[in-house]
Amino acid sequence: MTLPLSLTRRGFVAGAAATAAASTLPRAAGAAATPQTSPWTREAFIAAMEASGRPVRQTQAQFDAIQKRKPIAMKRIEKYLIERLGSADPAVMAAFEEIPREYFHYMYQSGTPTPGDAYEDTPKPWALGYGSALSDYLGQAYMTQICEPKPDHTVLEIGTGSGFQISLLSRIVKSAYSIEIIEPLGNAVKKIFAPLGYTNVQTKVGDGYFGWPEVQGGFDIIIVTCAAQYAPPELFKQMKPGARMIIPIGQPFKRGQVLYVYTKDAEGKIHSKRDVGVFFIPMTGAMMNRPAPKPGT
Amino acid sequence: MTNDSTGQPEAGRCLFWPLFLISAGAVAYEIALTRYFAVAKWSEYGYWVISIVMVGFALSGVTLALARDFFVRRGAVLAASLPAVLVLTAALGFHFTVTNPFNPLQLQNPATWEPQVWNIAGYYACLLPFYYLTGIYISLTFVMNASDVGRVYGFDLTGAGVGAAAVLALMFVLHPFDLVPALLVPIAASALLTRGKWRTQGTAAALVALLAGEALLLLGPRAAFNDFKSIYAPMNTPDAKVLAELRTPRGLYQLLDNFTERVDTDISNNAGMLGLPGPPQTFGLYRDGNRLAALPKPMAAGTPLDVGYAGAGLDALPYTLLPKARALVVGASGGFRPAAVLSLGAATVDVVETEPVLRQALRDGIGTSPPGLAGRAHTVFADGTLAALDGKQAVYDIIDISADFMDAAEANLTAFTTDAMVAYLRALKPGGILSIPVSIRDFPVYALRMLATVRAGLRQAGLSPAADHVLVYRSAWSVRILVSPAKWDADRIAAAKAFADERSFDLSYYPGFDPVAARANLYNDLPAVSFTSGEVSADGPRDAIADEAGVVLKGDYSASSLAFNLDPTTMDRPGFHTVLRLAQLDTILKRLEILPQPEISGLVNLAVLAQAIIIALLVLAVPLVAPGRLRGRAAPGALRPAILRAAIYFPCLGLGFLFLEIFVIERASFYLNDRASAFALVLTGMLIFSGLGAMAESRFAGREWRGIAIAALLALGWCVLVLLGLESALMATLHLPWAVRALLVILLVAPVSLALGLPFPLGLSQAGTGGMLPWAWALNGAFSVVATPLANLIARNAGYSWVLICGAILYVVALITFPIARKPTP
Repeated sequence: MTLPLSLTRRGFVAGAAATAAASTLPRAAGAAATPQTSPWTREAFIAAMEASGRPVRQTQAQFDAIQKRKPIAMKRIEKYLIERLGSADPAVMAAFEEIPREYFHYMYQSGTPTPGDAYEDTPKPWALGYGSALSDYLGQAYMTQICEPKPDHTVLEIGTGSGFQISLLSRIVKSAYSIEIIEPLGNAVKKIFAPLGYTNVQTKVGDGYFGWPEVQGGFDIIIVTCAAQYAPPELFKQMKPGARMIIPIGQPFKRGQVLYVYTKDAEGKIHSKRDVGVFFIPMTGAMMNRPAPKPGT
Repeated sequence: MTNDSTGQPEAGRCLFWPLFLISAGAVAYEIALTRYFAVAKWSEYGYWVISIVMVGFALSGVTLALARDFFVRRGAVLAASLPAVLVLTAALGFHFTVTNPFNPLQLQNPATWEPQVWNIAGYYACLLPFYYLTGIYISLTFVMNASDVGRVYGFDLTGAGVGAAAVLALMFVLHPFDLVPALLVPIAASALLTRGKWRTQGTAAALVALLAGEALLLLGPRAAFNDFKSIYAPMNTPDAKVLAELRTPRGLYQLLDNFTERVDTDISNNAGMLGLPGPPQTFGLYRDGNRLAALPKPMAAGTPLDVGYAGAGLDALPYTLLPKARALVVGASGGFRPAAVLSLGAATVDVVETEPVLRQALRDGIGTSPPGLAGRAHTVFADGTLAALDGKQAVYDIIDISADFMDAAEANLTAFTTDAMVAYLRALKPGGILSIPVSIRDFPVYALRMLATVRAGLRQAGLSPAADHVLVYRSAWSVRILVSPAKWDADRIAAAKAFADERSFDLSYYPGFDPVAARANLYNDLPAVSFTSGEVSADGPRDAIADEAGVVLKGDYSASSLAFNLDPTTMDRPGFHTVLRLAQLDTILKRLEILPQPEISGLVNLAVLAQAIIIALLVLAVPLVAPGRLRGRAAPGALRPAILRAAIYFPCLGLGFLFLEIFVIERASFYLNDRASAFALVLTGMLIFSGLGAMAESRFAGREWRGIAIAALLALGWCVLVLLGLESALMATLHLPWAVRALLVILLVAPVSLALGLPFPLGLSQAGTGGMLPWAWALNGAFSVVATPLANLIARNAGYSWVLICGAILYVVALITFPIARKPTP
């Protein structure tokens, strides 16, 4: 198991630059999720953006304005999860806290950074170009919690998009894999993880139909964002016992999406549940009886 | 418009050819814009373009009404210069349309809709100038040739008809994004045919404008698919290729090769456990950027299509219940469906394939994709299910409608109506099975509407109680409704249960079904949702369809039937994705985000109607603002125009003409089994024949009452005959070749169109010399805008027959309110 280059701020910036230069080298698989302990400053942000091939200019005032909105957005997320799911998973909240969302606000088709849009007061999806969108942070929080991620989990995502969802999960799970089918988007987004030190994320551009069969043992969580009339049968084969597959349905500019959650029973048969919690609130008080997820498990 | 320095019209047969070209160019531009929207965005927003067009015309009429003399004095200069200005505004309008970042998907999110409204305003800003100025040109021509109104109107309408036909022909040759550059040419050419002392300067200006416009459109930013259309992602995968392209008025077809393309069918999530493979890789056929079908990849001669997945499909159940069936497959899915059905054990397969390009793919292949039916003889019906089943009784064991059939062509909606259900049941053998697909991915309530339609069909076929003849089962995303002339017995139900259990499907209804008990063994939890309150059930696994299927089949009211329109669809009211109750607009707007795309068109229709009514009321208010301008300076003793009667007469004409046209287009869509051809034939036919009819206006000089009476009574008589006898005539001739049916459509519209061409110029002949003439023209245009969304609303709620009835009533009102000019009181 390899460790990230350095946990110091200087090492972080230097490591980001070095990683950008070596972006074609294979990444270590199976590395543990490493919390980012370097302070997230304007300089760190600019360096990381530069290292990811997306240079940005930002004043200190602009950076501070974003950071000022973040705690309010965090409160919003927590309240939303409690209202919709009965509780806010501490692991999900910690992941949101760790990840700088402004780093993911970028228009890939025009090459325009848009960090000033992060943590907006009215959560909304943002077009990224190439037919992709950065979903609104409430919907992403909901889906992340529905996935029920655990620290020993291995996750596969088909449809990397902005990379935010897989980044969120990577802060919780052991390993994260993501496949993007749109070539220009995938080639651009695969450079963004290393500068943040997310060494447990592997991405590629290609066909997600067969999943990632090279990963031994399969996956605990599979997210498929581009399904047609059926969920690819090969992906069900790669579900571990007790695994969940999540398929969001609907156009990406809604406030959230309808989620189909698939699980396997003891016989290996697939069960599904249509989750509309983003749009509808529970009818009864049954939510109060659902046990809250325990932190660290 | 004019040809001497005093601005007086000159008699001569060539006088109105510039008007002919500008009308042709304007209509062609409008149709080209609607095609742009259908391809680049989504077609319901192209409909908005038509409303922008008519707003431009209405505003131009108001301008002429209020400032008639100003424009007449400058008539010669305007006649010479407007062609150049129109070319520039058309080019700029399309340029700014193409570069407008409008994303209709964002309209559904309360957090993102506002900038999109500004983008819509941008469309108005860039497209209105062209149509406003076109309206100025046309209405000024009317004003300056008030004594020859019939010929002016005739040239206007025939020009519009020829323009429509020309652009439709161009669609076979040009990409939809390249139509507008071609259409600048006839508009510029109108300057060459303009008479008068400014002709040379006008022609030079038009030529310069044409060169500038072409440079802008051909060298500037190019139109492209919205990056959220389904074609976008496949086109941008590694090594993606466009293998073939077909250009038709019906759509732009593209055959794609990329790794995402597979047969798109609902298969069991347990396919691996069953030892069955997933769907094979294919080519993908797209129409206007939307996926239409999977087509086979090249393979060695004699190799059958790879359909190993068929046994895992949701649609496989009927073939396990009836081995060696004689099957009718409605929708060939590129050839994969008949092959799959044969692999499931059917003995013979007949095919209904209504989409002409898909039919071509079956027969001849497209590009390097081989014929989908190669190696096996099948009877292929091209003209829809009712035509295919005409006269057939007890012929088929299984009638199997493919899951992609409804979306393949708009005319295919008729296959899901009560009338179609009756035909299916008649064509089935006594123990036969009809298999109907419903997608519940977006809106599970669609399954209940289909059940209501099935129930209506069973009752009409004399099979009662309907609930005994239906079995419903589903996956997470799709439902199959199985209907049989025989009641479902215990053996069949048990076989269905075993089939479903093996594949993680659920039974949602059969005779004797207990929805509460079934919850304990659900594979696919589908919680019940309240559209009204915004709540979802949270008390354990549920099957929202099972909860209400039995109630719907009994004809009782259920929670969904109170919140949604679950009325059975019929041939007169075929729209399926119209479950929203538009009267509950406040609830709909609260739930805007969860509405599926097909339901959005109903809301767009309402928005267009609201806008149209406001514009129409503004135009109606002109006499209150400036009554003197309308009457104009009249010689003593001259007849005075009847403004109040005109305020009713001209709107009736604007509404009535469109109502009749929309009715005929709808019926022709079913008859010709193709909406695009129906639209083209009816629009062109009605415009040209009414233009010819308008030219007879001068024969009724001094006897205008006679003219309007003949026209109105002919129209009324035609409406009555059509209402009483058209459906029978259509069904009796459904078996004729397509070309003969197309000719019959023209023969249907020709006589009434000749009559309908008269009332407008006859009314204008009473307008006098003031601003009344352009005001009347504006009224007609403004209410034409109201007509389409209003007709859609009437059709949605009451059926297309009522659109026809309303049209007939409007012509009776027009007859009564003919605005005959009066002698002034002493």
